[in-house]
Amino acid sequence: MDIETLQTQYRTTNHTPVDTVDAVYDRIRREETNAWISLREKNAVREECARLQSPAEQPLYGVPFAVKDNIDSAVLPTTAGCPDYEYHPDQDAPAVEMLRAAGGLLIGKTNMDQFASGLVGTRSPYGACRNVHNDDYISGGSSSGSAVAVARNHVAFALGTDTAGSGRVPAALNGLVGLKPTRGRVSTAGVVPACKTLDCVSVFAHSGRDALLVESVMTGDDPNDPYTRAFPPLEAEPNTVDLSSLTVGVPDDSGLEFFGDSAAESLFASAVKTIESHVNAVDRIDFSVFSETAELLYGGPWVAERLAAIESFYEDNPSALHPVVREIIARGESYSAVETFNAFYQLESLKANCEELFSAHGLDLLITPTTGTVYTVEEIREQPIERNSTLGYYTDYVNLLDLAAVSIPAGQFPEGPGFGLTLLGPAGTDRLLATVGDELQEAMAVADPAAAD
Amino acid sequence: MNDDLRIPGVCDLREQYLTGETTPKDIVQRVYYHVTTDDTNAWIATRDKTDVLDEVDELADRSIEQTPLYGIPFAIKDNIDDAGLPTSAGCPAYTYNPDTSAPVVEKLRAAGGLLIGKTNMDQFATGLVGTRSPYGICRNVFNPEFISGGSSSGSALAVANRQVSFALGTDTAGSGRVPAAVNGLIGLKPTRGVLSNAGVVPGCESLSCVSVLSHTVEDARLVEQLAAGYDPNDPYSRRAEDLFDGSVDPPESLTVAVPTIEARQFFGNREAEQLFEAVVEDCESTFGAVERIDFSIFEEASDLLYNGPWVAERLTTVGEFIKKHPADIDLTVRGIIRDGEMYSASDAFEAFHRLEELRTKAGEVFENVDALVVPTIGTIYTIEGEQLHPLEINTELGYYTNFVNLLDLCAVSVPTDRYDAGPTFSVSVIGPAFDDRQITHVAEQLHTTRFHQ
Repeated sequence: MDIETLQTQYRTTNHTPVDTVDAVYDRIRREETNAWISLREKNAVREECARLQSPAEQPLYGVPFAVKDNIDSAVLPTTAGCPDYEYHPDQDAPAVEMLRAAGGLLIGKTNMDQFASGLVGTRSPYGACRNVHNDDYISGGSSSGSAVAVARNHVAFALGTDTAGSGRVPAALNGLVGLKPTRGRVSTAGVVPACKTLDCVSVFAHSGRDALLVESVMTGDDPNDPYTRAFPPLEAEPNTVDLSSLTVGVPDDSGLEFFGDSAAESLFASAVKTIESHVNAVDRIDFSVFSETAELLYGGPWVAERLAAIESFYEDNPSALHPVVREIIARGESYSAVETFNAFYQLESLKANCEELFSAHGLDLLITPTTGTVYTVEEIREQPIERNSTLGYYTDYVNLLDLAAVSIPAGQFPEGPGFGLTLLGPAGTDRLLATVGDELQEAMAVADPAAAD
Repeated sequence: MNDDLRIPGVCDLREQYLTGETTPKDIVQRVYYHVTTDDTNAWIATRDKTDVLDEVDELADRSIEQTPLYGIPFAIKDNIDDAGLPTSAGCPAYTYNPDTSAPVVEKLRAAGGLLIGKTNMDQFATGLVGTRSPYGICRNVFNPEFISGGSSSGSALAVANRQVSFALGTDTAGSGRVPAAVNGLIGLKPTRGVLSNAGVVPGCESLSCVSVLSHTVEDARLVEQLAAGYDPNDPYSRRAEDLFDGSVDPPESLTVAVPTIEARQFFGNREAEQLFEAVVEDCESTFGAVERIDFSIFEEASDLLYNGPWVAERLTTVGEFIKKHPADIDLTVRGIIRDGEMYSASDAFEAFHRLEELRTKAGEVFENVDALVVPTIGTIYTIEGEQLHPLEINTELGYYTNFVNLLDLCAVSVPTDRYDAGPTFSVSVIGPAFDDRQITHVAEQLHTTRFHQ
């Protein structure tokens, strides 16, 4: 179920939003997925349909969607994946409010790695989310339920959040588009912070076009979120791209990491081959600025920012936390303010190096795998922290370096889980990335018809 | 002092060169008369006169028209590197011999400026007083019982005593503005990142600025323009190519803000209160509108600087040194900097988040007003008083200056009157980042109205 198809149906057939809602609740009730933490009453959503205007007036007219359970809505509690943390917000987060005002139908709140700390989808007392293609495998996280709900066609799109890859990793593993907008373009007011200076609201959808439509509804300066920034509207960016004019960077051989996964390696190689045949140039670039930045995120003081976000709750209720999440957040206690400033200086230099790299190669965008490998739920249980870090190799650095990103499907691992590519560009390139993503998906489908299934 | 030996300001001296009234050689002789007979503790190190005279000889090959600082003698604070002199940052044991000059110094020398030497300072730029230096206390030029202000104390004295035409200071919490304010000088603190910080021992690396101390606003503006420039070696450097272009708005079209009467702090000094009220009256007759604004966000930001994790930022530069050489550190400075160890990374992030909110609110203030006018200091202090209550007085001194860099503002301090005891009373004109040109024009209005020499 994608947004465009649904809208066409509303315009050209007698299919109504109420029909959609009935179908949505049927599907959700038929399946055991752990994707949802809370659902609205079907009747409440049906009643909301009566207040919709028209497809012409509302860009998301009658489009069912889900939000990750660290994003507030006045109609459901927020848990952030921790039952004891639950509270009942007075109002919708501005992002949710804007989607509903545009005709979107909020269905419920989705499961997640607790406090958005994880890239796996298993760190939740509401149950592990499983990969839609093979339930031995992880769904990825932390926006696990949002990915599963969209991939299983429970809803047409979903919101996640993305600090270190939480919006991209689960999109990749479940064959979806995961758009992580430029930081500050979508308000994070009403979102339980992980790292307030880095967090983004992200979008799970079936295409870059759908994801951009959702983002464009949510963007705008918010005086209640000091981290929103003034950008030209998304619509101001060009919506068509000539692939043959693009210069694309990919990590050189020493920068690529597949952690022994030869399937992922050949999936990436064949994707690069297709890309090479469509763009002006593919440059192999030195990846060290990105890997050094990634190390800063979990090996540096930013874990203390996670602690700062929930410090009093953490101190009063240590046993309420998932043990792995508790262990990670506890690491934040060991960092000093001095180390924090030093890490900021290091980051400031890395940002400058990253800018230089883009300009020295004349790069329009950078393309990497989204994850270098994939794990079973069991493998994650064995090594919950190490393997989580492995999953973040290509995603951790993105918000620190102030880049925009979109993950697109690019085939499947032999066992089924999706393999994703991430397209990265400087702040303000959201539309370029999502548009190129759609075109590359088409190009790859032509190159490898099996991958399009 | 013999009036004939006084060194004029930048534009005045240039005029004298152009008319043939004096020559660089003559000026250097005069400068060295001052330097060798100086009894104000202004200098930590000076260059050999013969080296400077050799430089004057080289100037003979250059056209004065195309050499904006042709033969203009200047000083730099001793936390700014010059390859020909040691850097001590006010701490003899810390002294090192830099291989290269700070880019700002290089630019001024390339423009024809004659570097004379390095000036005294509060150790490691930690203080607004001018007394925290093993090289001796700096005293107010108008009354030796009073403090010179700091930390750029020697730079202020060298200019105020007409030993050089201008000087560079640094400014983290007010170090460039406070000593200018009480010694009858202009103190320009540019927008952060416009002047490179490479080759500077910073107070707080993320906040510090190189600043200008001069006799006129025009001089300060010229020196800023010549010293400015993006520097890829300073990760905090910002691009501001068009900062000095374009026209400024006429004063009658400007809205100026002053703190409400309740928010003004003069720490019991009725004279200062009246002197400021006179400036407010001037503003009313000069500018289009004067608004009384709530000052609480600025006050809160000021408080963050010394009662928050930014103290720890001072440790990032000199923490290791202080640990190894505790006996070589000024006691007050050591006490302040050591406090930085108490702050955790989580404290730091919480303060960053709060600061971001305050920045947003400050941004809203400057949407409606063109400049904020405040006293630079609410009162003046004797050296004796300062030595009795160093920390309280330092906090009071920073009430109107501490917040400026944290909130990413630019500021210029201009004298508007004299206290009966001698020191000057000054106001600071403060504007948003990159409004350097506008605030200097506002400052020029106030300077000429009230303090025409």
